[in-house]
Amino acid sequence: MSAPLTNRLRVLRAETGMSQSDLADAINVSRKTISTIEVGRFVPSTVIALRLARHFRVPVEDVFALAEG
Amino acid sequence: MSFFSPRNRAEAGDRLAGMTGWAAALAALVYALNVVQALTGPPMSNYLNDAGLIGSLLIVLVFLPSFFIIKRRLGGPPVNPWKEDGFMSQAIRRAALTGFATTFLAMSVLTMLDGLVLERIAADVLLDLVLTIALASFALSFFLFSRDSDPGETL
Repeated sequence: MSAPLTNRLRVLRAETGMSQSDLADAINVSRKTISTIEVGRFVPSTVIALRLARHFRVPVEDVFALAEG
Repeated sequence: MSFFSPRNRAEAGDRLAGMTGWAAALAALVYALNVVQALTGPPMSNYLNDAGLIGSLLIVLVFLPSFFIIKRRLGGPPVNPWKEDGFMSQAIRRAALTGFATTFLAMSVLTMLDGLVLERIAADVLLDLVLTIALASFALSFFLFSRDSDPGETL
């Protein structure tokens, strides 16, 4: 399912020097869930989106945004 | 981290979801062998019977114990792959929906063709056929939905 949703997860991860596994452990999801969110293959639930934003201490809009058009 | 020692509950849920897909595929094969067996005679039906028995034993002796080991490995409430919030759990729920829709469609078609099919097939073979369709459509759609070109761990 292609979703009109973009995310800055990979950038935020790189800025904090976290691996996918580290982030997955931190928010209690699997590494595959993180990798599929990053490539836009999986649209996460609101709960996961909020956990990610809370983890990086940013508003959820700084992690996810609707794609233009 | 071995297959039986996932690093967290979410990883355990992913593994259980994957095992559910493989177990469903194997069960579909066993039921399909039953259908083919009913349509063939000896010695082929004997070979198919043996193959089906091996498949059933694999499910009971390998998949079920592994499933319960992983389910309870991390302590706390048992992991339930259907209720997790990740990618694989979503794939398994979508596959269940597709499996239901496919089975419903197949049964509707069989009902419309009652004079051609239903009157010529024994009830037990028909049940095996419907179970084959249900399990195979679930397993195939699960593999389709959970396929992933994951490049592996990236930083």
